[in-house]
Amino acid sequence: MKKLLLASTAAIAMLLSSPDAVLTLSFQPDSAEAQRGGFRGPAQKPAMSRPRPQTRPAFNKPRPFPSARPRPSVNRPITRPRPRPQTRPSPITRPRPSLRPNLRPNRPNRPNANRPSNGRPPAWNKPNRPNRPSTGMPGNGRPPAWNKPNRPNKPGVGRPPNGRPPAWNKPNRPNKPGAGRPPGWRPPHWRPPNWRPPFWRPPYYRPDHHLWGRPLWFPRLGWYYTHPVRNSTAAFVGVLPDNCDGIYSEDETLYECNGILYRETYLRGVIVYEIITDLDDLR
Amino acid sequence: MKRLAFAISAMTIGLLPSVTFAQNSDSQEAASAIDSQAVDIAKASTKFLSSLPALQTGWFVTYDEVVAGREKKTYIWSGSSALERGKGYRSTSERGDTTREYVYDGKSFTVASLDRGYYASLSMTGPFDDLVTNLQDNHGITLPVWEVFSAQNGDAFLNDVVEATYHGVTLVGGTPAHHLSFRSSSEDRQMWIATDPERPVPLMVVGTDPYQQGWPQYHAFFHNWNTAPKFQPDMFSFDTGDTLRRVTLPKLRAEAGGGEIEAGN
Repeated sequence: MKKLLLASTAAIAMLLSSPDAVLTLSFQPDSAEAQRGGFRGPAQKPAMSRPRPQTRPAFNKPRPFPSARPRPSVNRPITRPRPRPQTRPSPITRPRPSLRPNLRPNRPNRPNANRPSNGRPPAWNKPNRPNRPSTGMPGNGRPPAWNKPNRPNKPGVGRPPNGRPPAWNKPNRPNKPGAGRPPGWRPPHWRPPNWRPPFWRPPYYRPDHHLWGRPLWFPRLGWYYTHPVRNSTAAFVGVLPDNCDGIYSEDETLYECNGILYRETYLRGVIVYEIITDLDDLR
Repeated sequence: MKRLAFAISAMTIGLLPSVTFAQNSDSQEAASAIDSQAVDIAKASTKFLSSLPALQTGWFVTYDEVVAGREKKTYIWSGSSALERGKGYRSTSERGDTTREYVYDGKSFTVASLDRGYYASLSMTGPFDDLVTNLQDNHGITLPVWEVFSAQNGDAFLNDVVEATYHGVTLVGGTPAHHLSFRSSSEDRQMWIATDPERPVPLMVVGTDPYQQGWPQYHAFFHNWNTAPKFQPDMFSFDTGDTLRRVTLPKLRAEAGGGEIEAGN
């Protein structure tokens, strides 16, 4: 009965304390936590540990007291047995010659594949040096970079989802200019590769005349101007071409130049040469 | 309601004097903008010139052409002109590298370039003012300094003047002259008219086009005025001879008519 009472008392005391206290057999759980590191961080050495000396004693410093331990004798035998001498010769590390002929002479042998010759381990993690077991698979178990942009290793892998066609017709990626257009379609201002602008007699530009305005061009006349006259419009040039024959009369003066008839005219104070020949006959 | 009617009546009555005052001020401003002294001097000069049976003067004209809206190209046109009313007109001018003769004998008008060897002729009758109008409207030809010779249209500009200012007397080539300035709806003009009351001839005229970008101007300087000339009998006749070739002088459409200064070559 007393044992039972004692046992129950001890059990109650254990329950009141922490389980750690039960494990450490201590009724002060705080100190028990502190001893095993507890909730305050890693375990620390007990405060009662002897501090290390700050500086090592000098060699020539006399010892204060002779050591109580006996000094080891110089002739003391070695208790650890020496290693046994090797009776077998060391195995040859060079590779055995292959029985098959080397059909791929440029390929290094397997044992030395990607392995440094001086016995260093292979550079597994070096970039751009895939090892033998690798087949394009990057390290760390990552999948191959087939779906990465700009690396369409497999044509079907880079296809956009939902069955959309590849982005060939997107702007800035004119892989096929006429894709999606009817046959024969050409972009605006398209010219064949051997196209050249048509011949045009120079000068290509002539500014407006201060009296007559914008000049006009006719192949057989060159630059000419127009001016409204009574019941018609006068077409005229300012300068006659070369090799003209004059036709003089009492009423007017005509010039025949390359089959074109001009009439010398005083127009707004300026001598011009009105084109008498019908332009339709010159076409 | 009575209050509202009273207020409107009061406002109307109160506004009436102000409206009347505004009208009076406008007319006063218009009247004050025209200096009668300047207008009188200019009209006296015009009347004097139109009353002369014959006159002759030398002239030197520069006129601008605005290029590309800002650059001015100035041309020079110089010569002398003579008129005997009822008899004929002759003007000899130089422009560029050519000469030009304008001869009118009361029956036909001839324009010729002796150095270029051509002439153009028109049959025409009437006084000098009809000649000016016909050439401008139908052929685009403007006679040089025609205003000082015109008996009818010489004061046309002065009738449209909206502002006139008298600036005083200044010397023009050693001759004292009245400096006048005018503004009309079509042109701004300055005139220098001799102060001699017996011979109020114009000495210089400057005109400005207020509607064209660049505001081109013309300057006309008059010299060697002869208000009582004696001309030779063949002064207003033109002999084409055998060396000159005749060119055509076409009629222009009304919208392409004259009124502009010839560019000439």
